[in-house]
Amino acid sequence: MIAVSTEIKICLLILASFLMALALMLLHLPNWVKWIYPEWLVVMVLYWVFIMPYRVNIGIAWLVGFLLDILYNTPVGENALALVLAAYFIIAFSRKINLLDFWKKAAVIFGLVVWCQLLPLLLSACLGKHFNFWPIFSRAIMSALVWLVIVLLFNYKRRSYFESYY
Amino acid sequence: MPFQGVRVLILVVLSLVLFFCDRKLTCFTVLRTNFLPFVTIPLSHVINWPIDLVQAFSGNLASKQLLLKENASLRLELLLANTKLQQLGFLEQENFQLHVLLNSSRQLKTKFLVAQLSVFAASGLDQQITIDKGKIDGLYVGQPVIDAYGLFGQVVSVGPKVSKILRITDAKSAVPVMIVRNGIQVIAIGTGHSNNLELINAPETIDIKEGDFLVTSGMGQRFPAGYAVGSVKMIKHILGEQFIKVLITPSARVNSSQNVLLLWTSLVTPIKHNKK
Repeated sequence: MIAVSTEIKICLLILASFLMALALMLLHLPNWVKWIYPEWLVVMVLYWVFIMPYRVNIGIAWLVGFLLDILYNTPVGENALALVLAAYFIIAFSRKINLLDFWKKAAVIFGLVVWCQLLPLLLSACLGKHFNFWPIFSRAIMSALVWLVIVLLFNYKRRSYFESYY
Repeated sequence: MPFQGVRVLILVVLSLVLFFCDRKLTCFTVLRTNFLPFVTIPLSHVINWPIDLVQAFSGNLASKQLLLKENASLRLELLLANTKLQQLGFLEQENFQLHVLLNSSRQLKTKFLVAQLSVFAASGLDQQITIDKGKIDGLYVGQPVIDAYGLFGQVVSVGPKVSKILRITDAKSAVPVMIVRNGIQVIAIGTGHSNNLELINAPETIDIKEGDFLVTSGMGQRFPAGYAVGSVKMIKHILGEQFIKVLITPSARVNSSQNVLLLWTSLVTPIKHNKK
């Protein structure tokens, strides 16, 4: 069994990481940064779903997507739908993804982040909006890189931090 | 997990239902404008505090030489602006008198309020931005917004402390404009995907040239007349089409402005002269 204090620590860490991601989305930045700005919250959710699918499940993925819809001012449900399906993809294929090496995992994350931006865009396009299409890919690349950094950081930390958990 | 598939199905259906109901339901708008800012604004203050601090410091550390230079150039700008203003007072007076003669009530009195762009939620998708003024400052939906260079957009939703602005380059925005050179009135819509505007329904025979300057015409009574909108960047005749394609570069710095001005306009009805 996991000790209670570790349990609380993990929950706090997850919460802190989500808050951090949300805060990073609210930075005052020049407009061109939008072209390369990673999707912090999406990456964070995908990371946690992959590592701890029992704690950060698809319900939480849906909630984060809902928050994104409210933040981005898109019709409610778009980002939520995209994130739920992305999270489900990770959970359903987690064993297969686990067998892939480091860079291929990053490629999977890239694909999922593209999906998480493309689906809302297509749904909004149905409602008659026009969008710039290309930033999706540059942002997905940056997101995959951020994911790599997070993995490296936590792999290093995890052994000492959640020793009892793993 | 046994019920994973069922849960996904429920959430997907829920998302789709919400997506299709979003337009009809007002509760999400309330959530966006009234509740979310209470989380995002303190958080944005906290996260932006180091950046603001660095900016304040670099302001303090600016060299004397630089400041003197800037001062000189600002003084020159002020001089030029003042020279223009001298004429403006006279023209305003004359304009008012002409309106009195015409007995029309198109003279506008304006009040300004400076607002700052407050939240940067990085999404490549939409062109709406948030400012740090709301209902307590007296903002209203449909209020025109300008920056130092021209028309910026309009207020589309007002919360207690923050509001959302729709920029003129958004695909949902349309502005009635007038060509300054000849007074022809047209409508400029945003393109949404680039930082340009387009004229809609401009016929092949319209008198327009590259470089023509466009101002708001005041039609539709949403935007007051006479504010700079942009200049014609490119004209394209398409074979077999009834209308020409006209691209307009906006005068306002739609992407880089940090401060915008909110406008309050009111009609002043001139006193009727009974000269009988």
